[in-house]
Amino acid sequence: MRHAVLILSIVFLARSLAGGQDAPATQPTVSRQEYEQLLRRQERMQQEIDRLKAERPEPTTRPATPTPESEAVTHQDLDDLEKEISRIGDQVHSALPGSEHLVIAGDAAIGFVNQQKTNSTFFAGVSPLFLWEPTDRLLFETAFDVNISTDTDNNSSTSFDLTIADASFVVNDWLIVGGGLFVVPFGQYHNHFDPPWINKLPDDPLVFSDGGIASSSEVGIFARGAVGVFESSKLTYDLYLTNGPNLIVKDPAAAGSLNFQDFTDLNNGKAVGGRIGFLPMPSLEVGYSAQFAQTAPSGFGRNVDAFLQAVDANFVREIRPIGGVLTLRAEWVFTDVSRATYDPNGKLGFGPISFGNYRHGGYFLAAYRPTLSSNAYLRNLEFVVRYDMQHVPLAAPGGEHEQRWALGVDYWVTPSAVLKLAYEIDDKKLGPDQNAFFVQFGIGL
Amino acid sequence: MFKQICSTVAATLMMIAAGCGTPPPAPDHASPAAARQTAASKGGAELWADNCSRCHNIRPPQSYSDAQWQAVVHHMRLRADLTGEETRKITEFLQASH
Repeated sequence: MRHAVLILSIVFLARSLAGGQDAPATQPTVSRQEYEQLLRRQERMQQEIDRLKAERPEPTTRPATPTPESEAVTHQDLDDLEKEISRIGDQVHSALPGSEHLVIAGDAAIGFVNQQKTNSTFFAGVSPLFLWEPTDRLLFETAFDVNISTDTDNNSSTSFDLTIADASFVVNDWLIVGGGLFVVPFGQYHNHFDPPWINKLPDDPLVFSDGGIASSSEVGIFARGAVGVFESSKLTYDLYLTNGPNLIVKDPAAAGSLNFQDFTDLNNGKAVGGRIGFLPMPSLEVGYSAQFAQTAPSGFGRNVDAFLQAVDANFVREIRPIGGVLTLRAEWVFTDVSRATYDPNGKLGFGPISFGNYRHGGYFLAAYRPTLSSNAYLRNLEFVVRYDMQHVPLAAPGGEHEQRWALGVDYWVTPSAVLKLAYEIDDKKLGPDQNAFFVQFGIGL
Repeated sequence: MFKQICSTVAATLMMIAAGCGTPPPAPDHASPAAARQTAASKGGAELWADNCSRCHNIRPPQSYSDAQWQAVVHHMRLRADLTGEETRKITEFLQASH
């Protein structure tokens, strides 16, 4: 009976593979690599079946009750074989168009914050990520943030922010092109570190937070890739053309600042930018990013340019003498908006006011996790310290010099689930200091 | 502008210097021989550890199915700027370890 099931399964598998071969050559349902892998597995199974047949006597000569030794070996082999067939069946099924390579991932976080000058509150958010890879060269990505809040007028709301909606095409080993709404490679933070199961502290550095001075997601086209250089180094590059940031001109509290969520461009000037990264060794990456954009909305009266730059470094390595993993990260951002006059005739009530808005800021983070400790609980702990700051000209609307120190302890429940405790010491030049205590649970899905 | 460029270059040099000044690597992770290895000579397991752990904890191969890993590593090729060769080797390793 088991042989009959096995043979039927092999026939079904062979038919499945044959069906795949009949598909038009221009639209293969299974890649060549997968096909050859399946063929190899099929050959291995055939050899296994032949061996089993050879080991088992013919039914006419088989004893009525097999010896315990031969039965134990045969059952084990058959079980292994059935698992292998089941696995290959799953693989063939998953290769069918429409069901292949669709992944729903993302992250989520819940937490509590008690901050000076504001009410303490719980907070929660979820960020699903959809990946669809219809062919080996094509990938569609969609991600959004879902958050909840209640303002001081007692109005509750749920926000739904699309953060990624792009398509990319692999041209060759060193080049990928694409377009849509994508995470701009300006520094490393938004591209690499901000999901709550990766960020080692519950909040973002000032320059990469809401109201920060760095780009996040923008609409446009991009080309990126990486090449190996020298013996063990790698060079990465990113180039893009986007709508770019938009200059805020009417808000008396933010005039001269940039709105980075310029999803439908408000002028004919586009932003061009890129990032060069260098990895002299696998544990260290340094990079330089730049973006140039014309930012004034149509009708403002004159061009206002913005030149954004960022430098970044990331070092992560397990170091035996200190018994664990050391992480060092630093990023600095410089945003220069050329001089302009806002509310020139005073109709908006805060002008005329002329200034160039040169802002800068960044962060330095160090973390240590004793991964080589013999104590299992200690191995899951990580100690974090971060300094971050942001300078906006005091004479400009929304001007402030702010710096913070954050101390945190993380406990890694799993590799992608972390419980964080942190205390943040805030120091502002003009406004009140807002020290804060955080508890957050972040998970990657 | 000149002051801005100077500060940018200075910050870059400081960061590179900070990276070079870190303690020597652990023998099992970055021996001189291993450090000289190119992507072409490294296996999928080593490339997986090198590239993934630079930003986050390594997720076990059992986290996704073979087909899902292919899409996930493709996604990470975009995020982490992997080469095509690195992508293939990491995908093969994860699928073989699944």
